[in-house]
Amino acid sequence: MTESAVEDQTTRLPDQSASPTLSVRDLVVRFEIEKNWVTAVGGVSFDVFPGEVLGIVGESGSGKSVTAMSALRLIPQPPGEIAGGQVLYRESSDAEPIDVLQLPYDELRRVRGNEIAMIFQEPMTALNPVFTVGMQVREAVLVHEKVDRAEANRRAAEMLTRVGIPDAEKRLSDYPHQFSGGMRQRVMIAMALVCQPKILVADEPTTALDVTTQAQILELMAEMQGRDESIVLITHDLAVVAERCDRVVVMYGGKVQEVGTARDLFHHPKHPYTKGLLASLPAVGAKKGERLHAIPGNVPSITQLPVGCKFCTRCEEVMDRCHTEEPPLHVLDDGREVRCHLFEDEAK
Amino acid sequence: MTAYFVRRFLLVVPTFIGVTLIAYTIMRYVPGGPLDQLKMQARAAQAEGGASIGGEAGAIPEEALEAAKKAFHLDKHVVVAYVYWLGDLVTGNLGESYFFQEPVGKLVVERFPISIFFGLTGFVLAYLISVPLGIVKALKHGTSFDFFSSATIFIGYSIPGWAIGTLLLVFFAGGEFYDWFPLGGFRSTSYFELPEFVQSWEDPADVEDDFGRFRWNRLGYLSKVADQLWHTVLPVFCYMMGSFATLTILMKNSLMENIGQDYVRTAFAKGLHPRRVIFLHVLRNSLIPLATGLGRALSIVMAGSYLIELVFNIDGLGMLGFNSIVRRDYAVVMGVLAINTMLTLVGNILSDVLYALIDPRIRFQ
Repeated sequence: MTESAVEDQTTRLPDQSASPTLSVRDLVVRFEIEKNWVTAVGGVSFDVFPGEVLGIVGESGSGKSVTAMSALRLIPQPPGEIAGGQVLYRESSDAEPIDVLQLPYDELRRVRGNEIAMIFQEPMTALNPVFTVGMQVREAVLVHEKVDRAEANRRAAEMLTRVGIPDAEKRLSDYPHQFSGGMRQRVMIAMALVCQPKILVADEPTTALDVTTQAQILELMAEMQGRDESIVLITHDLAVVAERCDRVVVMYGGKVQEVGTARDLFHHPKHPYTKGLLASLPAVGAKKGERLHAIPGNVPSITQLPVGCKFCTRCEEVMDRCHTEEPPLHVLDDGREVRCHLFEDEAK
Repeated sequence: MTAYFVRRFLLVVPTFIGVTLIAYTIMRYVPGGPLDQLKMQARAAQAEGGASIGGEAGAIPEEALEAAKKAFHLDKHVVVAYVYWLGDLVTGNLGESYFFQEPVGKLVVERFPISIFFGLTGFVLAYLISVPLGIVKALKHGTSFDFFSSATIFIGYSIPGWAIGTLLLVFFAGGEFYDWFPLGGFRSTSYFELPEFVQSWEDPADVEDDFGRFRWNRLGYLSKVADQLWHTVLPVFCYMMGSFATLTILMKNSLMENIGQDYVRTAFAKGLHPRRVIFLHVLRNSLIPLATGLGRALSIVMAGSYLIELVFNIDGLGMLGFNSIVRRDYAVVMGVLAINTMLTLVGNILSDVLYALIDPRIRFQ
């Protein structure tokens, strides 16, 4: 399914000449676990260009969610700490970038929800159970815009209608528990987009939903995306990436392992980890009884990451130097980036 | 949901009957009842005037015994006697006190305001202090403030209210240490009981009636307030201690649990001010378990506390109930018990109503 999906989709290549809306540079995030500092994100860099859908893929514990949350400084502190790096946000392509990580708190609040909005994995718990849906969407308008309550209410109703909630005006006074999971995620999307943010960060938005609802939610996100608006889609679901993303960042062990367009990545994966991930997908038309490929071993705990390449303990093409020397993120001629010693020569 | 509450109210009837029937039965078979007391009185009278009467030791006339038996329904089966009591109750008649020779209803109505005054003051203060304290403790979790306040609270919690009351009286009510507060009572009953500074505000002649008796109502407004507060501090402190620890820790834990919830992250991600996130989104959820305790506190607030009222010599419902048990004053014991039971049962239903009102997720079937 993944292959054909990529085939059908005309991959939008980002206008790389435009300045990225969001540039994450050397982001380091640590957590204090039982008096030890553990690095969850170890120097991650990537760009989000206007109008694109950027996928961040990785297994649980790869640091993808932490990266996304750090962009809005939503990491709980303590135990977390953003130990270094920059998150540069540009309001428009010719504007001076501002570093979200350095913003005074009140200015950070203006970015949250207004410029960069987030939706989360669990629609069941992400809404406050004791307030009406209308109040929660309205609140998002009122905090960023100088409008009166009636106007905010009208905006909320309009937004709920746009995300496909029938009878939206009436449902404003309903509580979250009166909505199904898919409907709640629609409410979340409405709430996130009501202030027309430039970037929507979606942290596994469909993981908790059933398959048909998943497709609807992804479709809705695509519909709602404006021309210059970007989506950062965090997921472990490669099918979702193949269908929805323009470019993909593959993460493992708190590091970026490979970056490329969805098309390139699916047709010509370079990093052994990406290859492994793709090989472990069941192919349509595979013979019954055929065994699925699996990446050997388990994701290492972030408390025991290897010294060299983070993937060396499970890599099928591992070399001696991989255990001691971590490869840099090699930039190849076609703009792809791979963190693997195998591509050292190609990069030169 | 209406059906649920109708059912709950209907269930009050059998529960009430169960509780009062058991109490009635126990009361009747515990020694020291009215017949025993009659016999004892006769024996005492005989001991005093033994020389003049002589002969039959401790005998009372058979007719007197029969009359007493009849008056207390002791000649009937306990269940039958209970039904008589219940029948009277339904018609609004709580019976007459054996000790006071007054209707139980009157005794209760006289004391209700006193118990409510102390109960309500303690209750309101407990919430007013526990809720903010719990919030601060949650926000400062793990700091030395959190630690020391917890330690203090738990020391207070582990000592029963009446024991604290006794200690307070020893230390602050003119014992060997400080003479700051009165030994007890609801209000001063004579001019010389008033605190000295209030005495200086009032002329003794002004507060006496034509017969030279002290009239509290004739005190000036400020003097009334001062005297009332002066009598209130220690007992109310004891009332508070009981619920204080539970409330504070419940508030703290509830708040901390809610701070970790996903919806809090959503609220922050929207760009809300932390004040709004904590005091609106989190607090509203954290108050749910506390608010449901409101209904259950009804009986404590209105019916007073047996032991605290006793320690502070407050003539409220609690003390009336306690003394009547000691005196085997059947009608009063049953009357106070009936009121207490009713308040507890209604309080429980009230808790459920409150729960349904504040938490939109709750729908009783």
